[in-house]
Amino acid sequence: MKRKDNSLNKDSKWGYYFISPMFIGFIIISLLPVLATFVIGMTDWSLLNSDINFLGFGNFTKLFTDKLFYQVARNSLYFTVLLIPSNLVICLALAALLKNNFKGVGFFRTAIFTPVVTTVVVWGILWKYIFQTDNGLINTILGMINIAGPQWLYNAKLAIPVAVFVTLIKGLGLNMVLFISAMKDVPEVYYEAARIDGASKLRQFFSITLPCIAPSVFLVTIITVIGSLKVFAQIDTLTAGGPGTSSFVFVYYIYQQAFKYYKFGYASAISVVLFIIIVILTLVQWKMRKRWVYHEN
Amino acid sequence: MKKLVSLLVISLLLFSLCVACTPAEAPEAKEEATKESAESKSAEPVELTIAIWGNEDRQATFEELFTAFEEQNNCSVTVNLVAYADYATKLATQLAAGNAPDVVWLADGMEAQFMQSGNLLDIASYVVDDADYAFEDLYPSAMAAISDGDAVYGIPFSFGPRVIYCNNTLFKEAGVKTPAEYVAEGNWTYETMYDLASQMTDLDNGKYGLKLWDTSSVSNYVYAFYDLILAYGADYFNTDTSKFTLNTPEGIAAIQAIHDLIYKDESHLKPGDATEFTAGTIAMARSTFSYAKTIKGADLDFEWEMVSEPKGPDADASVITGFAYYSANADSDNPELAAEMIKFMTNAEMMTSVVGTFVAPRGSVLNSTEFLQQADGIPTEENILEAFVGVIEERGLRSYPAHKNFSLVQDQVTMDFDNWFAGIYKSAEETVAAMETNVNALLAE
Repeated sequence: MKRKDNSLNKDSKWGYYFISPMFIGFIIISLLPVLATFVIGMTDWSLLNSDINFLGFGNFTKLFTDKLFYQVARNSLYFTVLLIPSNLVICLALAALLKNNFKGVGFFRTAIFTPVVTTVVVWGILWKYIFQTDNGLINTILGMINIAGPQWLYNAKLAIPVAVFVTLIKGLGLNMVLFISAMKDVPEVYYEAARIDGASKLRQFFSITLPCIAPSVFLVTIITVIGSLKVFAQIDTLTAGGPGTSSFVFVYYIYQQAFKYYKFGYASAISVVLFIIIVILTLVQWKMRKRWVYHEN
Repeated sequence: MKKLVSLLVISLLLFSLCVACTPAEAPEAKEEATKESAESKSAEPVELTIAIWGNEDRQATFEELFTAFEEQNNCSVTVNLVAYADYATKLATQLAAGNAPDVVWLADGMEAQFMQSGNLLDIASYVVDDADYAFEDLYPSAMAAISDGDAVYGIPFSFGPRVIYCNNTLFKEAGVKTPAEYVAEGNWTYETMYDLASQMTDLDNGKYGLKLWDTSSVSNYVYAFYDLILAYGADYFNTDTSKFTLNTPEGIAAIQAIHDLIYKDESHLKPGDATEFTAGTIAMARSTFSYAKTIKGADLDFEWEMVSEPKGPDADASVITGFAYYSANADSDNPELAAEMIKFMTNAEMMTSVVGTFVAPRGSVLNSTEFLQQADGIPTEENILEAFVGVIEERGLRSYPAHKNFSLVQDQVTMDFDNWFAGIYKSAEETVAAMETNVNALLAE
């Protein structure tokens, strides 16, 4: 028994040795910058000024009086609330349609997946041209049927929905592939039994498919929530936060404070708040998974 | 054996990690290297870097221009091309990290930020008393924003009023008098320009009368509208840029005219429209003098010429000019050579030779044959004298304002205009009132 324990310790030791390069890399590249952000958030560090003063929680209390910060939080929440359900519903529908092998399925899968491998900046610029007010593709098509298209990207009510739409189209393929893969893992015998019992296709989807792929739905939800709170490039290329400040979101605001006004201290404080929000939301979802993820290894 | 291989693999990984995380040079090592470098200076060429914005053609042109400097000074010059949109951010980051280029270009208020933060080298001792350099040939007004007392933190290499480019083919096809004809008659005013823009607009065929600024992306509306606002007898700021002053009847009339052009007459491109003058569908477009080079390089199938910006209700109003500067990094390893590079690039002879691209604020450059008689005779000497030299001499130039918070001020003004263009603010009065509150708060900080 004693020998077995020693052997285990020996194995564990070698295991730790082998993961140590990755672990050290994680500490240097991820953990230390995160900790540094907490510290910088308590200073007034400006990129162009080497004179740094410690402010304690000064930057964090300033956030409570910053009206723009509240708007940024609202905009980010709006972006997330619009993106999550539409993303899940459309991706599940596409996966259900394209999981089966039929003639031409490869084309459709490729077409939907292509945006995933396109650079996000290129994707944003492309859609900026498509949504142009007078000479954009969409308004030109609308013009052909005598409909005057709106200023898609210069309308405070449309800026975020348009950014959500562009983000949604870009990410559909990846989520669809995850769902197709999960759906293919559902044992066929369940469907056979359901068919014998006379269950409709819709009933089979909600009673068999959805519960069986719940872990994937859960994964996609978490990834999408985090991604939507961290959205930046689409906003930067499509609206640059505008019109006015109507599409300012967390990371765009952080970028503007840090790299345009060089207020690294304040930008770090906002980053810390965003980090805490993401951690809380992820923990809440993790706790809630027990209620809606029935089928988990 | 297994153990030995594992140990070797781990050692190798850890060694790689250590090497990767070791600073490129320890300070002592760097000092030593600098000494060695100084000793072997005559043998090994010194490496200098310069950051510019523009395109790859410009980069190639500058690499060629530096050839003579490299030979004279036994050095090699690397020209780093940076997108203008990212330029200030990248430079600030490089300066903070201590790896900024030896020589940099600065523009549009960047100089104030970098001067105040002590990042720029005082090059007065290199340029002021050098008779061959002819420092006094530079317009004193052009040196104001880049000097502090006797200290000189850069040399301007590009300036001047913006000009209106006219697509004369479109005017002829429409049977409408060209702006140049109105200039000749002495009736070239903003009202005339709005009227012409309206006549030349044909939205069904994608034709626009006017483009006053780059509508393709979020622009700096302070700079974009400044000349028009001054022409209406208004101003954004008081003389020491401590107070926002646009909330006047003249200011409101000026910005109402801009809004009407876009949304009432629909003769101006809407924000977000990426159509360029070179597409041949815009009758009049305002841009910098150097844009003429882009137009000439585009091999267009229409006739064009340039005229001055029109006059407004305040006929004596000056026009605004931005400056682009060469400055040296205060932390450069080769400050002397960096200053020499600036002298080389901004002396009268060099600035005259590149006048097709950049017009330097030097008396000798503006009077040179190279400037007045451009290649192919386009733009014509008459065009240049009327649209550029005439405006400087008759109306005078105003420097773009400077303030420690100016980038915040610019963004605030731009966002408030954006709010009006998007219908969030309902009127010119509401827009300037919001700007007044927001901008005064920033100016007071």
